[in-house]
Amino acid sequence: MRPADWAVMALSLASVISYGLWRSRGAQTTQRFMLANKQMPWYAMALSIMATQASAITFISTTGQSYVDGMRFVQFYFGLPIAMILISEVAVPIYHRTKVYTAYEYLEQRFDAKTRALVGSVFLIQRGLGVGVALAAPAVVMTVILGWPEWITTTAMGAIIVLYTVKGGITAITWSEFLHMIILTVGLIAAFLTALLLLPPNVHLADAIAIAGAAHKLNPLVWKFDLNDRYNLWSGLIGGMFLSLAYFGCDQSQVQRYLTGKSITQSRLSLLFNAVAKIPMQFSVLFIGAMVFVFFVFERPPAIFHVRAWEEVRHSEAGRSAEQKFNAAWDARRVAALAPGQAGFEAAQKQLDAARQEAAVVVRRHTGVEGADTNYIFLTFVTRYMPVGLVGLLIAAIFAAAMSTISAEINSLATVTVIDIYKRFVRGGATDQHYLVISRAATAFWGLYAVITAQYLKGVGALIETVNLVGSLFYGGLLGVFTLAFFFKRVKGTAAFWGVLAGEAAIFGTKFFTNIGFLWYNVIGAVVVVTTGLLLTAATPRRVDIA
Amino acid sequence: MDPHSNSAGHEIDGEEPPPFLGSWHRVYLAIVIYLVTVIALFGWFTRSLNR
Repeated sequence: MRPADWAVMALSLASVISYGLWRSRGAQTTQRFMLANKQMPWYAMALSIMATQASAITFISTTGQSYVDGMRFVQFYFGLPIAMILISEVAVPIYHRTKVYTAYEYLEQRFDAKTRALVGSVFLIQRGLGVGVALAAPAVVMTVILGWPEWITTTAMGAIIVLYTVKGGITAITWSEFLHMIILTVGLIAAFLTALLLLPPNVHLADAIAIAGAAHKLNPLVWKFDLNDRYNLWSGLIGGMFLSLAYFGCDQSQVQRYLTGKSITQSRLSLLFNAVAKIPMQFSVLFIGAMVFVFFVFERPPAIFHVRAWEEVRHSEAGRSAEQKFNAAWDARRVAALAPGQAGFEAAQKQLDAARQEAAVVVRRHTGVEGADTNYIFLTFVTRYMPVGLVGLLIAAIFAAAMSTISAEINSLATVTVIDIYKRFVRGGATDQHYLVISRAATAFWGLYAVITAQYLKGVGALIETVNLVGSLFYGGLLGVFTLAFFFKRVKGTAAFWGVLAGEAAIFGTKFFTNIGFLWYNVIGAVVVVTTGLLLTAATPRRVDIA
Repeated sequence: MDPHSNSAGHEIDGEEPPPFLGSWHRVYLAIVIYLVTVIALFGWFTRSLNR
């Protein structure tokens, strides 16, 4: 990065953090720290919800996903609008009416303390794993840009996040996320325009679309139903709806966003804004990935986008051979892209894919680095080809995205730790000041935990898929127990408790003994929890109260 | 349905109508129509451009 980029990045990040801290100035209480005194307007919550979900992974991995696999990943979000409607209609009024700090607090009101503790613990495990992945993503950025060791990046990022989250609580997080979404949008538009403007003069938008289409990258809809295929219309609508129901309705990192709302109406509007805006946003990000693909049809990329790993091996005998094949295949594809006739382009693309595979094998053999370079594609484009200043803005957007997601996650982890565990089972009845101190200590603890787990998660494949996979291992259980709570009044605590355990057993059984796509885990888990809860309720003799 | 309860049968305190379309159910219907339209547009996009 050039000095101007560093300046833009520092200024952007300082603005985001300072704005959040400025909005959170004044005396803190636990309610302000955790729920912003329930004074947030809908638009701030709406962008906060979007920003919490749109982490650095959205930038880094989704664009790369489109480059490799096309735009079909967008179908993952088809179920989201339906989920938002159901949550707005059912969950939002209940959470507001019961005046809870966490979704799991409601479970004790509805069931019992053990169910609350179990589900709260499931959340802590699941979100604790997710926060490590979210922190690993910016480490990928710094590896590419500066060659810094990943542990330095994760530690520095973690320290900054913890400092402003501990200081400002959810108010600082929400308003920072508001500004972050604006930077993110500007960054995306800049990346799209750069990819288009740097194409050869004789290649226009229509030509770029035709090339992306010929490479099968423009596939936002796949009709064919296949349980083993991760992304098609049906897995998106059904599996995606279940995942979104669990994520936005039962995951404290999201529930806490709209619990800060002034009213039911404000909370609903924030969710419904996302119901409308999320799909176009993801479509745009994926379309940028497709345009980056077209850009690299005319600009020779490295054979492997994990540049450091590739540089280690490309001068070896096997590396030179792989690179020669890659270059020849790339030249052939470039010629085919400019000539009419799709068959030639398809054949050239297949040859290029095979050459990349061979290069990936060489990298894996010599360095141990996995060949999946999805997470490095967009970064290579940004750092090598974006104009000065915009590189800094894009990197700032990626960092701001990471910080907002992680800060929201550690804030929610701290809230559940304090409200559902510490206050409920360790020390109830203490002063508000005491719980505020414990909340800040819990925030620092989860920040440290994120830094440590990120060290072990940095090598995973496409980060976006890892996050969703980890979520899907637990969300089915969460969704099932909340479904029982909302809709089945006869089901009591013990049945719900065993239902959650049965649901989680079913999900892990599916994961380890079948090839079923992970989006279906949410459906399987939720169905098993509800079925088990209902069967146990039916098998339990009803107590007759005698007046 | 009881106007003071939602589809899960829970009583709602302080619920207001949305700032547009008159009722929440109309807002929900508009979003469902929007979703169907988006999926149809993606179908057209895939069929015509992904060759």
